[in-house]
Amino acid sequence: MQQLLISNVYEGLIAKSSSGDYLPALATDWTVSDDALTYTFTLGDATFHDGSAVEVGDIVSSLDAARGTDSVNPDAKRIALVDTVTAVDEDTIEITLTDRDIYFLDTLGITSAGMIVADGDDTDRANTTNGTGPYTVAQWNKGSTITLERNDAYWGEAPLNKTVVLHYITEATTAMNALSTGEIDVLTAASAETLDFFESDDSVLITAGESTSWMTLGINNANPVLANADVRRAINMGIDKAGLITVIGGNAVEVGSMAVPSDPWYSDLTEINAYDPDGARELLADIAPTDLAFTLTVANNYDTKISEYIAAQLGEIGIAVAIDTVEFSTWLERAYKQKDYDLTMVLHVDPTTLSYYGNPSYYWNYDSAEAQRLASEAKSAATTDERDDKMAALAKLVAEDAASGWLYSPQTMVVASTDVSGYPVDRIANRFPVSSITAVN
Amino acid sequence: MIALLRNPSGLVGVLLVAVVVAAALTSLLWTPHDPLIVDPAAGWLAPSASHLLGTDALGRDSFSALLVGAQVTLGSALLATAVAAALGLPLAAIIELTPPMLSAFLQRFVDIMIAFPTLILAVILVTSFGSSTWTAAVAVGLGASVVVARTVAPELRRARSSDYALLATAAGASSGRIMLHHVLPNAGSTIVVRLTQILAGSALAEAGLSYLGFGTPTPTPSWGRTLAEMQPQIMTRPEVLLAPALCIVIVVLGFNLLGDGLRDILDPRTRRSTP
Repeated sequence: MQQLLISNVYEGLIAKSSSGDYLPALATDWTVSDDALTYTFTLGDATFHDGSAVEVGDIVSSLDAARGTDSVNPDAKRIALVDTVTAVDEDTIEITLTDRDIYFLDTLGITSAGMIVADGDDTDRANTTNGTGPYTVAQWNKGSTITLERNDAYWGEAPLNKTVVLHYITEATTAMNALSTGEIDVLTAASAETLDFFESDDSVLITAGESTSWMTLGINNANPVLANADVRRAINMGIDKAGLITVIGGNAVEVGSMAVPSDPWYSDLTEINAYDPDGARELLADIAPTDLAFTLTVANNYDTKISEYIAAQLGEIGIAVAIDTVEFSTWLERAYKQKDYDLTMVLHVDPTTLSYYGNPSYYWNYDSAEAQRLASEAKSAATTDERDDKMAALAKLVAEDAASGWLYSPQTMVVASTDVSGYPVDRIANRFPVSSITAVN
Repeated sequence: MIALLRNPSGLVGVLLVAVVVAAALTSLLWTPHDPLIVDPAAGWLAPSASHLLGTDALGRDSFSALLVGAQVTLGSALLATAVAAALGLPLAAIIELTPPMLSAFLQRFVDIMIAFPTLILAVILVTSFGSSTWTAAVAVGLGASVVVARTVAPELRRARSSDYALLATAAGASSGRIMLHHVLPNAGSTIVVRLTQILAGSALAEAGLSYLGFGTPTPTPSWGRTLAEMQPQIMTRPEVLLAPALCIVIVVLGFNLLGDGLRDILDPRTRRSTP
């Protein structure tokens, strides 16, 4: 939902292009002080869906509500470093931070915490919307479809299409049929079978988009055996990731840490703890004279091929892996919240997931003073270059420490009818801007 | 046994069940390949002399997996039926032996339990105790036990009111003794037929639960789970769904026909109508 509402229905002071540039949105321009603690925004002439103008008071009240102690905003934590939000005059807003936050513009542009609603607006937001974006929500059938209708009074550049209907389809075969019959025109996150099916079909176009997601083998670093970095290294060395990518049907890239090639802090770390079953057995022989046994707790929304592959591969280096497939809610409670697991498997989609290695209470239980220092220095970096250096160092550190296993980074496969164009393909896991989609004819 | 083989349903049933039993027994000693060995380079191989039914995405031999799957299906069907018999038969006897008030209460209890879907009971048990073939089988057996009680109890009543039972009562035998020595043996044919049908139902329930992810955990091969794993291939490789689906059909049809055959030759009422 958030992925659809941000930038389609609600907007922030600024926006971010799919290539990562910050763009003006409700604010026409902005300046950042030298100490990177004060941000000054100049407000433009935007209007809400109900026709009222966006004023500085709306900005102040929205951001204050998002960061308030009783905030229900899902991204409230991201805006926690804000100290004050002040309306300097009727076009100018000044925001001060208690500490530098290199992700602050991202927070304002692409997270729920930065979205602006009218001050004192009593719209029932669970059912209707009153944002500033190019679309309004015309109809929402929970769990099935959401219809976005063009806001004809949009203050900015008008969208190219009038209505976009988004279908939420969980079953790959259903999605495949929906595209075949023309019920839908664009299918995102297509499965390997879907790609096979449409491979030689001229009426559709298949595009591989850049993604910032990682299929991660979560390792519980607090487990007495897994606390030993050599055991974790052996686990990483025991899994042939290229083989796994073949098994899932290709369309994924091998990564050596929680970074993808399009990240500015990326460097090729795939050689660290690379596939070497003999080396893994040697490592284990030194530390574990008896056979090791772990449980791999997996939510049932992931393809069982992946967990079966991991179990089989680790079996070959002498680690017995029992697969425990559970409902997603059970996984969330047991593995993610209570951290009661040995190994697990998660598709992480937050582009800055790498920085979570600086949080020792995250479900990995990875407690490294060095990682915590690098993550916090990256967050408070003065320049993006400095942040990128710190993030690169953090990516390398966690790779060497084998804090997790990074199985692959899936490419976002988009299959679309050749009758449409302008649909987003890159980095769409978090945002899906629809205003440039057009029918070709 | 010969009578069973002369009966057309019985003959086909025996043959189909024999095929499944043979597959399960063979797999205990030998399979063409280890069904758990993963080889990404050998994924989705077409059927060949080495891989009779080809391989799956992980390069595992599909035929070997089906052979091992027969163990799971037969094992869980037998366990579920044993549980159903162990609980259902005493329950039927108790319903017959207790005073009318309590008996009526027990019968309503059985009716309520029958109305409760077995699959949901199984899902609840599996969620509480973790998914395993045996948990699922016991759950299916629990669900089937009330069906056994419901269908066997009237049969016991009929046998109890027969002349020989009345004679035993007149001779001073206790009701427990009559139940054990005179009534149960005479209701035996109904019980055997009913339990054979429960075998078919249990095999199907195991496949269904595994298909839904509540039965046999990965990576142990199970026909129901293989079917679920292959389902995404239905548009691109429909043939890979055929083998596990056929296996399930064979075992369920086999037990059902066997049950029909047994009923034909054991039940005096239907025996008369059969030529």
